Amino acid sequence: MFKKILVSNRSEIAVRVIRACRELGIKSVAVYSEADRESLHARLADEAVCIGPGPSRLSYLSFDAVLAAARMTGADAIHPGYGFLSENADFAQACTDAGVTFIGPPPSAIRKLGHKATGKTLAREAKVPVVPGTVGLVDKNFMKDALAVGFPVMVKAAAGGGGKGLRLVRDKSQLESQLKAAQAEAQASFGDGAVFIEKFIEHPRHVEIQIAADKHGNIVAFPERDCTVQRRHQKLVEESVSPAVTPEIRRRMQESAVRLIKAGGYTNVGTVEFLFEGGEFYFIEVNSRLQVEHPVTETVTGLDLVVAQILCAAGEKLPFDQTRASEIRCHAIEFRINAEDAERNFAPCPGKITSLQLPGGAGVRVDTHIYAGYTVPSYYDSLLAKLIVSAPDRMSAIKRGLRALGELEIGGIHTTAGFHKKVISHPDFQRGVFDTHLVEHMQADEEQTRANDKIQAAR
Amino acid sequence: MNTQEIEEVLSWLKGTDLVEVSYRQGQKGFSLATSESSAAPHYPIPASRFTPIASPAVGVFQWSEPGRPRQAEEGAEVAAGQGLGLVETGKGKSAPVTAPSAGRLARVMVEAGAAVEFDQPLFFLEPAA
Repeated sequence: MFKKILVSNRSEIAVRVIRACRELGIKSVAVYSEADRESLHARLADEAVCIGPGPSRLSYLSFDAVLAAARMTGADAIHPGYGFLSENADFAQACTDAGVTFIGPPPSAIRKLGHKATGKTLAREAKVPVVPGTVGLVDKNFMKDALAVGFPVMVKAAAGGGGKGLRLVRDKSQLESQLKAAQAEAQASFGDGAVFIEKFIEHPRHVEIQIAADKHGNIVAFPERDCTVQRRHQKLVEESVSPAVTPEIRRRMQESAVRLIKAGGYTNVGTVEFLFEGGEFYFIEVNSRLQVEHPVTETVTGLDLVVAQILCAAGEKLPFDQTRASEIRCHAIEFRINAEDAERNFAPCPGKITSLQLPGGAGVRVDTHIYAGYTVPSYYDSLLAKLIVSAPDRMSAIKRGLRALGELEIGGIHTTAGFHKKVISHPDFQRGVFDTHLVEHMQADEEQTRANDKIQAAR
Repeated sequence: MNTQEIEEVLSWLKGTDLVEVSYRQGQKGFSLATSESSAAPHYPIPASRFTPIASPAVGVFQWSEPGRPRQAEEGAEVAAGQGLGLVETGKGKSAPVTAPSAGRLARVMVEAGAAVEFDQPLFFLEPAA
């Protein structure tokens, strides 16, 4: 087992990993940038090293700085947290080359599964459902291809990105003209007019399967997390289990995830993400790291994923089997409390936290690095805290969430706490019938209400 | 660091407008605070004569590239921009430490081969009048 782990991250996740180290009797090293001198992670760790100035490129993303800190403190393993260097195969390799264990999957598995295109190819080979579409590029047979996929379809540029060369086609009468338009746009934007056709998933939910795999060939899959409440692909609320997934679908998703992880030669913890619509699920990508929303799964199963990561990286066996990992002990919901102003289109809101009151009581967990008097730096993402509530059933968890969000008081800056109350009070959320457009719809409704109020006021 | 050295830092601290100073190297370190820490003084404090020269990176301090002569000594007069040492940041990579202005290198706080943090004071310079 490791003697000393360096955590190459900041904020709540660094605190989370340092806590796991302390419980395992492993010494911890925090690294921090000049902007994070006051951060809790630097205070909680057994040792702390300042590795550079505020911009992450010069501190948390610098291979040299992180590895120099590992050398000077004699750390024998590095936990990358999420974001920053966590999915960087070159960094994982650099750790190995420096004689330090990278707590995560092997570089080869990050390369194979962590990238969308190669991941999708591997998924097809492992018979994991992917969004139906043309396998190669579209040629003269485009109409036959599109009919096989089924309308509505998306025409996508192979070299694509940023919404360029992207066309939604609802029926076959528009296909030829839209395909030509997409090809022309792709040619103009990327110098490559190649396009492919994919089924358009109109009302998707985002559902994902957490897995853990040791180096002895044991792979387990956990009950799913539902992360459908998103804004511009940023998850806001996550819950487990999903109100839309049946035990039969859960079993099929778990089996698919395990097949894919096995095919990729993946070890450590990871997440297989799916789009879910009408009882069917389609592979999107693998996140080859610990995820922000991991406490949801920890709460539902009563297991510790960070401890599992450390054990797997040290070459030990997983401390639980599939039967244990499948146990659904409660319903859990996580709220990401961000330093953002929901009233002003979620504009980031760094600044000094003048007062702080965290919620507590039964079924409430808060993972955070903030305290009263802490100044939120402007260099990094806006996550302040994760509030995780749990209760025997979904409705009780929602009520507990409302109660805990009501207790939370963060003075001095705007946060998304109030917005979360609106989300879980929304009838669609409470019924469990919604898709990834929920937040958009809520914002549009609010806009409408404000406009109506203005008209009323003008009369 | 022994008590005499800490006393030296303390007397230096009293001569500045700083109210607290923390120093840490590996697991060892100390924090000193003056009695003004809690409340701002009501009288003017003369500015410090000394300018800290901080490490530009996390790594290992060396006086010079291997095989090259040492670039500075404690008490020596240095020119603005003069190289004082370097911090090795990775294989074959280093960041130079230079004098921000001309003056006397009043205090050396580091030894060759020492692991240093980013922004850790390596020298105190007494700028030329």
